[in-house]
Amino acid sequence: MELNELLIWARGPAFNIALAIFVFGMLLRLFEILSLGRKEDLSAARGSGVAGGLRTILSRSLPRQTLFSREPLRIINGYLLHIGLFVVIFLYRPHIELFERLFGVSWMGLPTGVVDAVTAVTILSLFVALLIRIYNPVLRFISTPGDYLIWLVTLLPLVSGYMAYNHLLLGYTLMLTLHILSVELLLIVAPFTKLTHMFSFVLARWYQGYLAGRRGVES
Amino acid sequence: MSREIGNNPLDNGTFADHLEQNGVSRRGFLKFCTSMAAALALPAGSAEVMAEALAAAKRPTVIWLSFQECTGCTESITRSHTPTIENLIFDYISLDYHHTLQVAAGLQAEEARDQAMKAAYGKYLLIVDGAIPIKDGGIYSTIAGRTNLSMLEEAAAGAAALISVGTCAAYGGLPMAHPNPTGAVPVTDIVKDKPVMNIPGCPPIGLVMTSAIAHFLTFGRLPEMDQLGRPKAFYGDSIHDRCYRRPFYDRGLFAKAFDDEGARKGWCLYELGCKGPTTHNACATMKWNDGTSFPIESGHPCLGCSEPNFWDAGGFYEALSVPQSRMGETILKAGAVGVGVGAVAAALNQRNKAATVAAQETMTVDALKKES
Amino acid sequence: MSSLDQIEVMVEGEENPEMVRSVLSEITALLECWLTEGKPGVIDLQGLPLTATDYQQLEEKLGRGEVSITIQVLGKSQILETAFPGVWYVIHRDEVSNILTKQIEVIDIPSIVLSQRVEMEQALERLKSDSNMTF
Ligand code: SF4
Repeated sequence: MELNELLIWARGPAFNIALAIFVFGMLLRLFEILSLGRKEDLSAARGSGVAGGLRTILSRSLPRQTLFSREPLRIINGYLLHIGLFVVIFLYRPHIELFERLFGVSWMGLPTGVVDAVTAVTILSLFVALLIRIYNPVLRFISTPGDYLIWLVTLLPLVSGYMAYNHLLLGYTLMLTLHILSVELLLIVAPFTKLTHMFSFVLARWYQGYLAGRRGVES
Repeated sequence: MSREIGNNPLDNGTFADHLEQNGVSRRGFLKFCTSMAAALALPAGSAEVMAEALAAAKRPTVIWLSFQECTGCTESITRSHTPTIENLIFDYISLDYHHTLQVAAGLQAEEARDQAMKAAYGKYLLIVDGAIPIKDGGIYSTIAGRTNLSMLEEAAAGAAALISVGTCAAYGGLPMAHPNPTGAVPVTDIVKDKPVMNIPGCPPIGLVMTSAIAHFLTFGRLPEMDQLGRPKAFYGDSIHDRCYRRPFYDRGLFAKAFDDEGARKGWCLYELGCKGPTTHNACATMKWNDGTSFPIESGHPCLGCSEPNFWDAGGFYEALSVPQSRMGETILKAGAVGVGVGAVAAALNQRNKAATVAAQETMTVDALKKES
Repeated sequence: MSSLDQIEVMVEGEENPEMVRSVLSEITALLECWLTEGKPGVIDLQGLPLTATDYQQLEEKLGRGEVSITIQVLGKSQILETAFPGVWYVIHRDEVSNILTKQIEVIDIPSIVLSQRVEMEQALERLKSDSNMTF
């Protein structure tokens, strides 16, 4: 297969398949979670569940003083990683172009050089995350092969994108193709691993916050 | 300068003789070689070496076969931007056979080709433009009653080397585009045992072609090529690498429409579908129309014409990063299926849950007491 | 001159001092090489992605020297010394004045200027046969 044919395939049929699996899988998972439902709470509400739910969705994004002082590195690194991923995925112009095609809305991007630097930082933070996972006995103990798999499928698009942009190792066309393919791998793997947290985090926080809110306790 | 192809009286002379006859001084020749050496990106001092070697070169036999093509390549080369000087080499190689340019026609023309091939068997240079249809025995394109396929096979057998001019000959181009009704293939699908150099482009730059021939005459071999068989000197860099709009790309400043402010300010055309990042060609520096500009300089994104499959590589006006699939449809369909299967799974889960709850024995104080 | 040249073109003034600076530092290296090793150097200006503004800046930096030569052969060629001896512009044009090559040569004298030995020999013969003629 010629290089260009591979690129055409990656941008065409392969992307279609990956996207279909992603959408299918994610909806399946979310539907499953939602449909499980909760038992009706018969106790008298002592506070607003809705307010608690909404508050928690946001407040859980902020660090907890107690946790932070215990493991500052892990928490800072977590922020770096997630903010980095956000910037790289959503604020790079060529990516926005893709979202515009998908959803019809567009927004401002960052200069390519900035995104490039953020990518490097994000890649580093992924490695730090891996080290923390390996060196922290508890974390290591509860880690499953799936956790290492999602680490890898998150890393690949970052590295291939970085190398394509900076013309490292392989020609741009091949690197771009690998980049697209690695994103497709991520899309396929995501619904069936802990990567579902990219959506389900909202639900989880909502439930927690809702329950706590109803009981009138802080969450 | 008139161009008489097919009967060059200087068959036995060297290139230098030919130049002298045409009133070109050595200095003029050196000037010509300078532009060739510059085009080939040869190191300093190469122009002089080239001049010496070329002057002593004997006239090669060149046969040019045109198959499924639009004649744009021939146009590009004969209209190349250095009329006088470039014609020197073009006149000198004096094509022994070229459908479009030769005076002779019909039987005479075919005879001329036969003769030229016999006389220089194993030594001539074969230039091909256009793709070759091979479906149904190759009947979709014939010349003088013969299929392109058989003509190419015969001519290639006696060639020292081949040059595929234009994207059609090099990679199949438009004739091979989906659904490829004639089963068109590039030259390299048919000729496997001879050196073949590709000069892709739709059309290719004239100077690239003549420089490559000059290289062949000077050094007796084809210039260094990349994996796609293209001379590295011209196709080594991507358009994006040599694009003067690159600083805008790096700063994230993109034109979003052909008439917006960004377009007027000359910002990067990536979002308008520029294929510069994946396209290798020399037009960003060699330019077109007497060095006037190249597509991006005129405000149009690069189409990627010198790459394989460029017709099938998605919309010309769609950004490289945008997938070439019906994404909306995919999402709707996959979403519907996801929800459907999700509902089934949910029902199953509910059943499981109910069953689990039912299976749970109710603990009584007595039971606890018994256990302890 | 084609009529295209008459269209007024406004150059977008995107300054890119990096380009000019790198050309200058290459010239420096080439001149050093010529002086120490006697190897001539060439920079093909058309092979670089320079904008019109970049050219202008480069020309301002290099300035003009004492020598300027015009050669009429297959179109006009200009050989211009810059303010830095040993650094020359060599600009070849075709018969309709389009630029063929635009190079910077680093050498004592660009070789295109020199008379060619073969032609000098021919000239000698011509002179000899001429001198037999009576005036
Ligand atoms: S216009 Fe095209 S080739 Fe030029 S910088 Fe933008 S994407 Fe690259």
